[in-house]
Formats: sequence, structure tokens, C-alpha cells
Amino acid sequence: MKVVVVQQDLVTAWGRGMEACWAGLLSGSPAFTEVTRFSTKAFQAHLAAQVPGLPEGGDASRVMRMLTPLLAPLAGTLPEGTLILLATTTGEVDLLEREMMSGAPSEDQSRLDVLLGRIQSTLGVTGPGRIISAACASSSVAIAQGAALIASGERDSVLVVACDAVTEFVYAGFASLMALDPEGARPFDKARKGLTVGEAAGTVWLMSEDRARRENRPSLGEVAGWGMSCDANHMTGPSRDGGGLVRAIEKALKRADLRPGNIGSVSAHGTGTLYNDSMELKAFQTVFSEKRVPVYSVKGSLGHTMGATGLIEMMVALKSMEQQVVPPSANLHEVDPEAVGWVSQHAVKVDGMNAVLSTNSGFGGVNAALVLKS
Amino acid sequence: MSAVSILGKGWINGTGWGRVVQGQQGTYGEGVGIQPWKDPELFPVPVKNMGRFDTVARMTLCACALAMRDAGWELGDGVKRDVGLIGTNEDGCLAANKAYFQDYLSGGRVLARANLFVYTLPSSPLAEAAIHFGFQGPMLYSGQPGGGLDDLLRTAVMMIDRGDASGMLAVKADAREAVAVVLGRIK
Repeated sequence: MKVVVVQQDLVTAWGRGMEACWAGLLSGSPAFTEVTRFSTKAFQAHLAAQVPGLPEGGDASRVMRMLTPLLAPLAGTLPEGTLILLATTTGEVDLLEREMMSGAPSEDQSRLDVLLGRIQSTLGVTGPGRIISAACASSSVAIAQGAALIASGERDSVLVVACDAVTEFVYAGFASLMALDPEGARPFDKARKGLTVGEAAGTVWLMSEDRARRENRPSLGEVAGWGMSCDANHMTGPSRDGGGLVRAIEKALKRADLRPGNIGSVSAHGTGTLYNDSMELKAFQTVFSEKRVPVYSVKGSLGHTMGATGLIEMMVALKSMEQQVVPPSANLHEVDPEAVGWVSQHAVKVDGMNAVLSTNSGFGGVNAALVLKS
Repeated sequence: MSAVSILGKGWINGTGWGRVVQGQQGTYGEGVGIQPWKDPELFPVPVKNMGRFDTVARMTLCACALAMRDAGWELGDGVKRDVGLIGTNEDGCLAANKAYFQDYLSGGRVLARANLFVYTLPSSPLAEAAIHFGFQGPMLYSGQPGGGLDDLLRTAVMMIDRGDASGMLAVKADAREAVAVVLGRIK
């Protein structure tokens, strides 16, 4: 059973919707701004990719302020039995921050199941829901799980909702790992020093091709293959040889019944950390040893949006196929010698691109790969 | 190809532990049983940095070791396995989140502790288990309101059936109790 995307929406540091995001990506510029919501004085970096124009004040968490405009148009439109998969790492952790900083008694409002309940309530559904969390591969793993359920015939409609926010909680944590680049993330750059924390939210509605056709819904692309793996190596660092990512990619290609030569471009995780980007390049050089493919990262533009990143990157990859254009790796000044011939500061026109790969990796050595077809 | 079966099941709580298929159990009372994390049969190779693990991560590792031993798997052989891990619990990582942020606040909001930050992901205890036992299959946290081990087992069986991994461990681990099930095909 083929799995197709019938609807998608997102909000990123470039604002609401794919058109704004795509234009921002093609500009090759970072959407980074100074963090003012909390003090970053004690940290090595002060930039983040923050969603502009969110309503301030009130009790709602930052992720719900991002999500509500995306979910509201879907309210009442989801068929009964649609499975809601929530992909996130820290969800509404800003509620916990508020609670702990004010000394108020704990109401545990930052629990992920509470957030799932809020999402279901905004959508007006009472049906099944699950939280999927796999570090920074959370949303690509959620897409994989949703697609697998549809492909096996167990479900025919799955809505994947992904979100994470820039919070003091997360920013201080990445600062403690010395993982932030003071000049902003520069994926695949020779001088890269780390990531820039970003925030985003998105929805991707997956459906069986049969149901989509029956209901005259447009197909925005197909989730043709998926693969997941774990390096089983280190908690915060990837395996140096990229072997874990290679296994995930090979599984995804096999499921899609495609060969590496069929892939037109690769949306890399590309965080801008020394080890991640190097590991990925080794993996891509292994898989695509016969023919190089254009590789890009959106994180020099959109920041690292953590649990949302896989979903946002999947939507960008679909847009890339629609436009037959590989977006530039933003904020890239001097290409790392390992990446020469693979990544570019410029958009690249690629004709006949009808299958692409999108990969994510995260803490604990988790890897996920998605193969998407137009 | 044989059907996917439960090959082993282990549990641990505040007073004891058990291996269900082998029908073994023990308590922590004096002279009655050995604590799993001190049992060289379960951990012939010491767990690196176990001292800095949070409680849920320790419980996860113990439950996994008990279940694997129950299934007759070799432990500590250093072999990487095509085995996946899927986990759940009641609270995600709420306790770890509180511990990390309280520590950060107590320090004057200047420096967070990386050792506490790494457990602020629901999947972190599973990652520690994957690293120690060499599990190279999929690894994910799958929380479901009102859901328990049954939902997890169903998903794990599906994942083996569709070739995501040749075996899976399904783990429900909280700070007070943990249970792990080894699933795979009987050879």
C-alpha cells in the first residue's frame, strides 16, 4: 500500500507556511536573531532561530502558540480513527520552567501526554494518539511509524504533529555541552563550531493512496521508504564512521525498492557540529560511492529545531522535488574539504529529480532515513 | 519463517526481580537475593558510567539484562546485535527534567550540567541500554495515554515482521519498577 502526503503545514523562523520557508532557504541567509526572552549572558552563544510574531503573554506554551494556527484549520476535517502521532523532545517544557521559577506547586503540565491531549482537543478528536520521541530524529521516526502502519493496512490516515521550542531549558543544556556556535550554525563549513537552537512546528497528514484517491485528495508526495538504526556507540556523539546511518539509509532504499543512483538529492541532518557533519559525509560517501548527489542542510538557516526537524526537512525535500531545485546550505562560507563536491552555498537546479533522501541523527546514536518520491 | 514469539521477560521493582520464562525470582532481603546491578551473570561487563545514570536508565538496563538472560542470550560478549528497543513509561522524563532544571536554577542560571541534560529526553534510558548491550536496530520512545506494555508489544511484533530488526526489546520503565520483554523468532 502506497503512503502519500495529502496535507502539510509548518511554521519556522521564516514565518508561517512553506512559501516563506522556501524563499528564506533560497536566500541562503540564516534566520537567526538574538535571544531576548531569557538571558544568554552566561552562555557562549546568543543566537537562535525563533518564530516571529507569536502572541506573547497568556498561559499557553510556546509550542501550542506555534501549533494552534496549524491545527485549527484541520479541526473537524480528520476522518474518524485518524491516528495522531506527536513528535517532540521537550514539548511544553517552558511550562515547567515557569512553574519551577515561580516556586508554584507542580501541576506537571509539561508532561508530553498532556500536550498530546491539548493537540487532540484543538483538533476536536478523541481518537487514538501516541507520543514518539527519538531525540533529534523524533519526527522522522514518527513519519516512519505512521507510514509503516498505513503500508501494512493497519491504518489509512495518520496525522504527524511535530514541535519544539527555543527555551532556556534547552539552550542552557546545549551550552553545557559546548555545542553552540557563537557565530551561528555553519553546517559543512570548514570552520563550523556547533549548532544554533531553533524552533518550529509542523503537521504532515499521511494517507493510504487508495483512500486519498477515493476522497479526491491531492498527493503532495509519497513516503516510499524508511529505515531506523542505532549506533550503539555513545550518548552524545555519533559513530565516527557513519556505519549506523548507512544501515538506516540502506533499509530505507530497500523498502522503497530504489538504488542509490535513483536518489536526486539528500537533505542531511547537518547540525553544524564537527562530528555530526563529518559522520554524515562518511555515510553519504559510502552509500553514494558510484555517483555523487547534491547534499544540503537547512540548519544554517532554520537552526536545529530538534523534535520538529525531520518533519520540516521532509516538507522542504518535497518542495525541492516539486521545484526541481536543491536549496543551498545556508551560512556556508568555506566548504569543509570532506564536503567539497557534495554541498553548495548556491541553489542547484536538478532535472528529473523524483526521489530524494532525508536523514536525521540524534543523541544516543539514533538514526532515521526517509526516501520520498514525487 | 517462524512467528514472532516472546523469548524472555524480566522485571525489577523496589523489593525484587524476576525472570518469567525461567521461573526465577529473588528479593533483596538479607541473604535472599542479589541485586541485579551487582549480579555478574547479568552484567559480566560493568556498565560504563552507570553511576551517572538517572534512576529510570538504571531500571531500564536491569530489566533488559533480566529479560535477555531469561531468553538465554549471551551478555557481555561485546557483539553488536540487530535488535531494536521500544520503550514507554508513565511520565516520559519529567523527573529528569525537574532534576536538571532545579540544578540549573540552584546554580544561579549560569551553568547547566551536561550529565543531567542528557536524560531530559524520553529516549535517553533506551539509548544507554542500546549502547551497553550493542543494540543497533531502531530505538524509540512510544508513549500512549492509558497504554501499557500490550501496545508496545504489538508495535514491536510489527517492527520485526516488517524487517525493521531481527529482534526487539519492549521496555516499560519507571523509577520504581520496570519490565522488559524480548521478542524474536525461535530458531
